[in-house]
Amino acid sequence: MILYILKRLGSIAVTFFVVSVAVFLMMHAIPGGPFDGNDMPLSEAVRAKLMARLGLDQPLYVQYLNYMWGVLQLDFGVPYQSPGETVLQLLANAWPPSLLLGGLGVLIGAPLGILLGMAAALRRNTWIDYIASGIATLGLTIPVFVISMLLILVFAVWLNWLPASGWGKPERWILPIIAYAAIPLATYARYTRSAMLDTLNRPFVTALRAKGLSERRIIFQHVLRNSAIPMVTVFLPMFIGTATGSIFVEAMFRVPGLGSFFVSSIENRDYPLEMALVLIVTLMFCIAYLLSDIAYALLNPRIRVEGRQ
Amino acid sequence: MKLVDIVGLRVSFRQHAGVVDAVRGVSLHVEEGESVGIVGESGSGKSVTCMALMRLLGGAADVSADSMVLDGVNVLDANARTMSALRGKSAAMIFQDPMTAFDPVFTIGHQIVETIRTHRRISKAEAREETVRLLERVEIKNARDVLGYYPHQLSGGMLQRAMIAMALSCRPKVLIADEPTTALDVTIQAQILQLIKQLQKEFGMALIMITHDLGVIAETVDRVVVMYGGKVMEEGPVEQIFDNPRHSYTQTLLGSLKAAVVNSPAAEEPQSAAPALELRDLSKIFVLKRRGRIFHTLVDHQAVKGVNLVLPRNKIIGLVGESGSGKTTTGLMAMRLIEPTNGQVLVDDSDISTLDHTSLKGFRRRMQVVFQDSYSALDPMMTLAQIVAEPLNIHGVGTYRKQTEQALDWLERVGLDRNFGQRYPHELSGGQRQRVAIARALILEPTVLVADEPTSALDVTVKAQIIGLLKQLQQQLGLSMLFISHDLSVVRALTDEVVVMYRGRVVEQAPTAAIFARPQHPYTRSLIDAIPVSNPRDRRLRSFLSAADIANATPRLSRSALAADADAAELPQLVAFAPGHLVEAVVTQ
Amino acid sequence: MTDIQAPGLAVAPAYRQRSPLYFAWRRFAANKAAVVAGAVLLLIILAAILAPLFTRTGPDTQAYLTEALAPPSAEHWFGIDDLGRDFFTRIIYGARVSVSIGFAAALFSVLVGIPLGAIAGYFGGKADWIIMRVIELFSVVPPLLAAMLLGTMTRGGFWTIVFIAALFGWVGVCLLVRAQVKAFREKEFVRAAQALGASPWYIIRRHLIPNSISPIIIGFVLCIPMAMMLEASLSFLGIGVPPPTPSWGQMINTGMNFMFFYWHMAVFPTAALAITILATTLFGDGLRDALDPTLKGR
Repeated sequence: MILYILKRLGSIAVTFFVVSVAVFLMMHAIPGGPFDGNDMPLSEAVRAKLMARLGLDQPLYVQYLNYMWGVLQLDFGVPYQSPGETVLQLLANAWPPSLLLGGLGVLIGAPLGILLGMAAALRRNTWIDYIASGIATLGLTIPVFVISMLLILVFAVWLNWLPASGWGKPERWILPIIAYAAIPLATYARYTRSAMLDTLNRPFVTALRAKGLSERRIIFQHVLRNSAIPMVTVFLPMFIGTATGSIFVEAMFRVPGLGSFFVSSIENRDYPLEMALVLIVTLMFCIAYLLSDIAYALLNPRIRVEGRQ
Repeated sequence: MKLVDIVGLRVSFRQHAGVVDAVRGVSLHVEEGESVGIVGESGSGKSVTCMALMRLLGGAADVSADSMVLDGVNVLDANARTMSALRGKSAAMIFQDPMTAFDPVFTIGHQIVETIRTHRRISKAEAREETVRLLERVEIKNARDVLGYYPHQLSGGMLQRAMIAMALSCRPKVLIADEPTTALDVTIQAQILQLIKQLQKEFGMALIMITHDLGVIAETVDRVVVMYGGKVMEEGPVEQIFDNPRHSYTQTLLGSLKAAVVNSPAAEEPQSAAPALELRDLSKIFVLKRRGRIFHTLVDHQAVKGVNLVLPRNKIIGLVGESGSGKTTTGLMAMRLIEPTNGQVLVDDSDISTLDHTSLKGFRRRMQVVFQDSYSALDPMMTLAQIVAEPLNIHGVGTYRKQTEQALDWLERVGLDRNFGQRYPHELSGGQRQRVAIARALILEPTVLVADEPTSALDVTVKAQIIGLLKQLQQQLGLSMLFISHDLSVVRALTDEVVVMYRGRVVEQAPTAAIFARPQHPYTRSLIDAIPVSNPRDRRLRSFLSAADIANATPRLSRSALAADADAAELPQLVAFAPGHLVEAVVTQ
Repeated sequence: MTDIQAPGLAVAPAYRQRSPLYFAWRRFAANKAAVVAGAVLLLIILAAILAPLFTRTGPDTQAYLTEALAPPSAEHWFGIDDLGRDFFTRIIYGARVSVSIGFAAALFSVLVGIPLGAIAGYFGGKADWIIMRVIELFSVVPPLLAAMLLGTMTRGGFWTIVFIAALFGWVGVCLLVRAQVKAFREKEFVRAAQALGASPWYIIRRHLIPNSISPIIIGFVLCIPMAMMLEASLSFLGIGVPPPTPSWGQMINTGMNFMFFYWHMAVFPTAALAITILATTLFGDGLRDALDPTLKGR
């Protein structure tokens, strides 16, 4: 088990390295630097001085190594647009809105999805199943910005119940949270349904019935426990995916979160900010996958308890 | 009073293509303490009948009956609560594959305790004690440890014992055993059957034994119900059914049990010609990963240890042993489908064990293989004509038209109609698929055929036909065949010589008649002893040897008793006990 | 299904050949949602191809400048946009972009995914390890972030989007093919072919790829909505298909600014996109369930 974790950590390090090199190179391959914009004409001398101060005149690999050395000390550099702050400070300001809305979205969407999936599996091929499966399919296929747009149109424009966008008062959070909850809800509904149907079709369920257990005990103790193994493992990656903010939800509802930051950093060619965002999100995904794998191993006696007598 | 009384049971399944009638008007009754066997092949409705009795069929099944009573309760209109109380307490079930019948995420102890506490109001501690007693009763030695084991930590035989313990935990009035030994090795099968019989007597319960195997019936039950196509064909006391079957289907069934093949020794050929296939000191070591607390350790598992084997021309040699004895690995190594770790494979006196792909291709024409699972042996996307013609295609023999023509000829030769050529494998029955696999293996007219359990997945009646076909083709083509099987009755009927493998070694080798008449090695004896009887009158109590018993009972032979000379040594070695009869023994002065 | 009778008697005289795909078709036809979705998808594709036949102006013709932002009417079903173009025409031509990007990306995904999946599945070992590590790489990088980086780098454009979609689309196809090949290479008919001396390439070509046809079709169809979604997302952010080429994502972005007063600018492109993606996905799901009953509901 320990060796397994070490191995996974090693493979994460490699993945992380490859991603960082790829992103670094890509960023530098983007035509035009941060000072090429027409709105800020600079003389050659000033430009060269600025480039030298930011280390942009050195060979690429040196720039990369310098950068990564900084990253190891949690120094992601200084964003080009607001040199007064560090990238880390900027991100620290931008993350809470995403974490709050996205996190709440997952925490609300996932349990609802599980309930919906269970209802669908237990009442298979009834209208409950059809409605639940329909919601799951809609949630997974319709792009998030379409859902957001519909939410705004219905609740803000037509019904005028809730404010359409912005950040601050909790009532402004409701629509974005619903938008965020759609994907976890749909994913979990689908996942729970198929995992439970899978388990219900396994021979041991018949054996449990044959020994006289009540249907309730079979479902809530045995079937749920067996289906939970795959369900637990998708939670963390999904949480990370949602709680780092969706570019679209934040753009539609004008939430100043990580997603909006990413868009503006791309528009402004702000290398340090972009690099930091991609690296941090990637790293969080790596860790989420690792923890999920460990959880899977711990939950599954086949892996946890070895050996045959 | 009748414990089980089913009158006019009908079950049909709603399926995509329409309705399938699985059970068509079955009536069946079981008295208290009586043992009844239901025999029939797959699809005969025997399991479905019992599942209907327990109301365990899912929503896709339509069940109707004139009446269906279990332990005084009308099952047809009992509510869910009554059914729960009935299941486990009035009737308990054991299933074919114990590996899938336990919940994998709970311990054995938890699952048995849970069963007890569902039906009896006792404390957890008491239930645990009861569980230990039950596990000991089904001859599990380290019962207290087994409580904490997860299902995957036990072998199939042990798990089936635990399953029986769980079934007995609430003192059921009838035990329904659905093919309880089909997934197990022969020797284990005999042990489990004997255990079930003893427990039935001891607990005074009734037994319903569902099986496709007449041997199991002959071993265990008093009364037999023969089912075919969802109907009861015949019913009566076990002796009467075996001695005097009235229905033609029962007769076919019994006929196939009593070895339909007449074993006529092939005409002696001059043995000067090189053997068709020879294995010299063949070994295989698999490297297994064993997970430790911190590190994986690599463990060598010696699956096959120095096997020597000579397959003469126009002979059939049977290779027998339990699962894990290395018999299949040996067969696949002979085909070079698995690379041997050590040793040589000789075909017509030339060593093929080191040839590369291209030089091997020529030899591939001379040796072919037929597998056990006829379902996965045929490519589902190809028509039968394409499948049978494939060897010709790979070896570039003849034009496309000629290849197809020859393939259709071969379909006929294995007893299928020519117009089967356009069909796909999923449309065939198991026996028909195995015929196609045989046609594909023989179309290049090889000299050597390795048959790896070709009949073990088939129903009894079909099994006899396939054996007959193999024998017939072997004689027509002058084939040399290595017949790998765990089924000794088939081996006895078909082969000229038998090689017994145990834990990767050859422990005995002799002409078929000799080995059945005078088995020398204790393992061979236990194998032969475990063959189910073919007549209920021959029932007997068996004593079983553990692995340690077998190791201790290795024969000791003095040098003077041997047919060929060997050095005296403390380690067992393979020596000639009589001409042509080799046995593993310790040689003394 | 037994052959109790003497061999050769078990022959049905008039026999209709039924390949495994026939049964898949039967299962598909029984799935009403999938059949309807397929019909809708076909309609959308036809509309995209035949667009000039039932629209009066080109997609970029500003023929109705005086009526700009007019709401839907009998004359202009979906109204007029802010630049005086017939909105119905714009939406229909938008299908061209969406559908062609979807199919092109799916095609490239399959072309890359099949060989890599077959190699990883059949040979296992090192080849498999390398391919799986590459796939792992793609699984930890959020596709949209990467797409946006690539999008800005190249400033969008039709083929860039196809490239990006295929870059992330091949992973799914590759995994499906790999799993299928891996399962089938252990089958005994592959063993039998090996025993006949067939080369690995023969086995992959004759047995493994034909038996992977289901996952390939499934992978192909499920790639399409993924690519459509990506195109719409990038266009929405202004780094997708450059204007004036009509793209739904772009129109939604514009529509957002007009949403409070001119609802038709937002609703029609949103609905067009949602319906297309939903139809493609349902069609794909139906195909998957029909072709591979064991995967149902995953």
